[in-house]
Amino acid sequence: MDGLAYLAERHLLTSIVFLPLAGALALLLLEVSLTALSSSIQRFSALTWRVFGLVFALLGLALAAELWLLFDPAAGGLQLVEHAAWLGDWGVSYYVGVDGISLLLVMLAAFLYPLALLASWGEPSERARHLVVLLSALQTGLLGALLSLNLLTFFVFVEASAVPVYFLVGLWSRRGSGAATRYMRLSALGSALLLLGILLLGSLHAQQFGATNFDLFGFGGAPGLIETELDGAGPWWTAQGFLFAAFAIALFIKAGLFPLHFWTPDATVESPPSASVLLAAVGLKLGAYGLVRFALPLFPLAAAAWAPWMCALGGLGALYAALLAVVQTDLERLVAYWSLSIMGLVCLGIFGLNPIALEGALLQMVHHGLVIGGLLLLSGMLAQRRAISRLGELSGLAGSMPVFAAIFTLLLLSAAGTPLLGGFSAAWLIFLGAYPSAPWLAAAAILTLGLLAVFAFWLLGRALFGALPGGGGRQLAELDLREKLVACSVALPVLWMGLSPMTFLGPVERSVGELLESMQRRGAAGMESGPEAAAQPRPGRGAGN
Amino acid sequence: MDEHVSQSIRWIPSLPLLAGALGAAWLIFGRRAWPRLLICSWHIGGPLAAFASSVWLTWDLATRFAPGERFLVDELGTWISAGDFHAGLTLRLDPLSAVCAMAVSAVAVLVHVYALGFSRRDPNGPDLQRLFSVSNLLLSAVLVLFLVDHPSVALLAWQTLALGGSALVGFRSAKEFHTAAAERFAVLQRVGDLALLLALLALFWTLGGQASPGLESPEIGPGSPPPAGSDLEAGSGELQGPVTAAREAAPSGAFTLVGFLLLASVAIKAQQLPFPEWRSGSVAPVPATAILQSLCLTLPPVYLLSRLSFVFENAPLAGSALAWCGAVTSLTAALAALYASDLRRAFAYSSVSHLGVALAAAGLGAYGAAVYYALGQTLIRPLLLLSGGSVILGLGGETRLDRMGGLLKSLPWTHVAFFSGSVLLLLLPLSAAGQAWVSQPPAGWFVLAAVGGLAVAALTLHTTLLYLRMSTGRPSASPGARLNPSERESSLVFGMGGLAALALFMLWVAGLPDPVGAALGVERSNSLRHFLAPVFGAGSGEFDSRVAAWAASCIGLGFAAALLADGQRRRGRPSWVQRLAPLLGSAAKVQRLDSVATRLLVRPLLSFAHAVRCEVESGLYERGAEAGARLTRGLAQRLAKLSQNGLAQSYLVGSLIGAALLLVYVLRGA
Repeated sequence: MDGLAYLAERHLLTSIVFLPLAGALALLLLEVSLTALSSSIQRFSALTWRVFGLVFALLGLALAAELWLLFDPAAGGLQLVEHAAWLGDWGVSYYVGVDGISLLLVMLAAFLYPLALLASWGEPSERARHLVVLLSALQTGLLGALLSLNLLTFFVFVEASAVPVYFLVGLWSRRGSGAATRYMRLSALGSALLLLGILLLGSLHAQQFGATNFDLFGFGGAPGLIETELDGAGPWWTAQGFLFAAFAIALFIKAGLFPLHFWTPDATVESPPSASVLLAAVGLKLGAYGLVRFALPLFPLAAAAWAPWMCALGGLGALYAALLAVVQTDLERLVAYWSLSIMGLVCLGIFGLNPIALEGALLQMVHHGLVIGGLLLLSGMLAQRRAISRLGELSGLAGSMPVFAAIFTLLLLSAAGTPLLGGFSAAWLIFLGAYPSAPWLAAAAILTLGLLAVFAFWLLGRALFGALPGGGGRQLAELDLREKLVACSVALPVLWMGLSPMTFLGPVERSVGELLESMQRRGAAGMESGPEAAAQPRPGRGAGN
Repeated sequence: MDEHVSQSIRWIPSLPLLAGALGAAWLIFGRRAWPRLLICSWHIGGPLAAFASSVWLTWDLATRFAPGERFLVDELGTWISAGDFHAGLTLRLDPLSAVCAMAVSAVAVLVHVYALGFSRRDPNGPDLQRLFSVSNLLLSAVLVLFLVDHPSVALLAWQTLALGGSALVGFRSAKEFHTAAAERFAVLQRVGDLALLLALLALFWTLGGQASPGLESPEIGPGSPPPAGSDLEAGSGELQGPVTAAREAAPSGAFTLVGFLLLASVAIKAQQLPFPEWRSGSVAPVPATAILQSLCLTLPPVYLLSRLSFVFENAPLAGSALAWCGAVTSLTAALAALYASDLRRAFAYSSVSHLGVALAAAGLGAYGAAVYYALGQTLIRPLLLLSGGSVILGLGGETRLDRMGGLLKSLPWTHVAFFSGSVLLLLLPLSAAGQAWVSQPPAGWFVLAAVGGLAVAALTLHTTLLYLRMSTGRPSASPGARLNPSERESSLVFGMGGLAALALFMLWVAGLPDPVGAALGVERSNSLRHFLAPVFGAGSGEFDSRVAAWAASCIGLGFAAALLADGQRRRGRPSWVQRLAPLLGSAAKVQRLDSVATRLLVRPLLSFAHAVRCEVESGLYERGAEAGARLTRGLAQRLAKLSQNGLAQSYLVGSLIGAALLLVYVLRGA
């Protein structure tokens, strides 16, 4: 126990990252050892795997809660930093730390993981072992990527999360549509671009400063990539347009952002609900998080120059995905496109490049995770009852499943930006922040929410209160206690986010200010000494305040 | 100006919110229904406590402070803050918000009391706990709208009103939900919400963006007697300080854009043309409709307009459009009401028409008159609806007007309530006209006045004919059947009586025009108007005899026309109103605008989305993915062929060994 306490005290972030995988591997090792020792001992049952998986997930959640308590929003900067040289001469290190930006997403991942495991208890038990191991690997990859402050370890964790997704999509595929292969192809393309960008950046940095460095922030006296004294005419500074493009394309693929989104609907639908929750709710955030964490501060001038185009992709992508969502006939696919639409809003917020829009984007990321995760969990529960999820066959659910109906309504309305729910708070900030620089795109985003809201009302009317022609519609069993617990656990934060968004924005505010200040400072320095710089960054009104 | 802090304001919206939220949570998660006594005490207690709090605070406001300093502030914290944007959760009580809060909470209490009796007599009546929960949540939202300081929070409340309204429109009975009506209402309201959202966005950046480095949002309205740092001057709606400079520097079209967006939002909420979703006011059970009409559709739009009046003062074109929108809707809906053969539809059309009159007044800049008119409607409309509901209950659910007659003699208390409501409704335009002081009438005002006058005459005609039809003659519904003794329910009678007394008090004592009050020797005859006068600025308390005379003439004309038509009906001849049926029917057909919108907007949009899904998402991307896969396969096969060549194999193996050696060297060095 002392060892655990030591880990939690001195290596909290490492514990959070590796606990899920360590737990699953320990159980796997125990099972293999026991079965090897005695042939009379059988493999662990599905229940054992599920219970142990859940226990480790809850331990992870407890550690994340401790992280939330330990984090000091007023202090700003990186906190609870852990650093260990890995390939020191090559600038590769195990470097993790948390700030307000990563804190929210780590909390989201740690919160959703036990819920996803709990929801998976309703799925067939044949592959419970595989599911727990793969989900734990995915969770470790996601958490590691969210906390990494070294470019190469970020890349490693991102790739580590892609492998279990491939197996989850491939093994659970219900329609054999090749979604796993498509995911892997595109993911590999994105990874190749990201690796290319990272290596080129490292190489140019070494060429300019004589040493390779992949640490974003400095540690132990050595400056990080974004703290290096810049020479505007230096090679990697002048190549930032290309580097930004490589990063942006790679991260757009990872985030499933328009127009590189087309792997996401299939992957979301084909994987088991518990996995699709982690994939859609947290996995997609890796791309968006990478844009905020790495692409913006590293390449401020390129980011500012490309921002209008990125905003256009975000705003129009949101509208495009919303249009596609309204003509879907399958509930899970509808949720997948809805998710893409919200991610478009996130992109619009990120490239609004001012504190209001960026904070809105971060809030929207958390909201997206909760609401899309919740909707996928609910659609999974529905599918377990009907074995169908076609929208045309859903009707009158409010009568037989009032709790399901209430929470489904709450999540769907929040996803459509309805007031008093999290979606409105986030969308309002994004609109406010994006309006001055891109009023028409802000209007397009508002139109998107309008379209989604109209569709939500239509869907709710039919699925919950309507009756099929001829009085059809089966009576379905209400959610059981476990399912109610899962559904309410997702719904309550969504409601709380609408009523008191400052709970979520409080830790973020200072980090966002520091990020934009860094962009502004480096952009200005680059402009002064580098005539190649194309545009002034647009930190927006009040940046760095 | 000093800030007067009172932490009691928060209780006004919180108590109904608590009642509604707990009731709704129990409905979802609870296994057993609440006992009736608990439902009554809990769901009536919430709004009653809100009413009591608002009365107490209003009394405090009126007695402790001088007219120019009547405001109380309650700071609850910050709702949202990012960068320079800061939306505080501050409640502010001034005379306007105090009166509005008292009116809506009183109406909610009395309608709830009425609903107790109504549900007992109606076998298919509404599920009380569900109705009361929704109603209390709606009341809480409207109270927040009246009390909040920041437009962002007001936007929250405004949109919540639409949601609550949709739930009420869809209310049918304990087990059923009127999906189609609720959906139509919700969709249109959502469009209006987004228009308001855009309007506020444009407003923020038009004013705050140029005014100062901070994003200073304008406080809501002329009535907010603002403390230090606030952006609006009490009384006139004039902007002050940096925002005034911003207004002057703002592009001339910006306010017009904001004005038209605001107009769209308000017109949708108030069901004005060109968004005539009038049917939604007649589909739910009577108590639900009464709550919907009084809490959601009537007072909030006019209140919001009066608070954001500076927008229209800076955008005269949008102001004129608002006036015309109100006047034309008023006339059209009044004609449709004359055509209606169903009591509930007639009420719904007449309600929209009256609201049009209020909006027309607001468009002309007579915000005092508009608010007064809307306040009157908030009290009188539910009174008429509840008494109409009692009649419908008495007839076993019959709503057709041609089956009604002489009923009010059988239902004396209902008769008294209906008569009071009709008389007050007839006098309301006259009473409000005395406050219709317009500093600068727009061009073409006489045409507008003519349309408005015709609307008032048509409304008078409708109200009078309706009363005469229902009070005289004999009922033809279910001949021989005994009436359902709805009046045996004391709570039903109490609800109607309470509303009648309240409306009478407000309109006859507190809102009597000065000359009439003086002639009758009534002291404090105009106390409500004087109480509200500082909110609406210079001139709002002045009596305008010309407008009053015009209103009186129109009312007289309508009344005479009604007597003529009723006389013809009694003689067994078709009345002159019936002869105008084709014209009146055309007015009622205006509601089909939504099907036009469906044909013009929704269907093409859906077709486009289907095409995008088939051609782009499935077609283009699939083809691209297949091409990528073919390319990858081709490259892989080419590589495989190369690797089968002995030279290539040796090269590959050599490279791998070299890479391994290099890696070992690097790792050892590291």
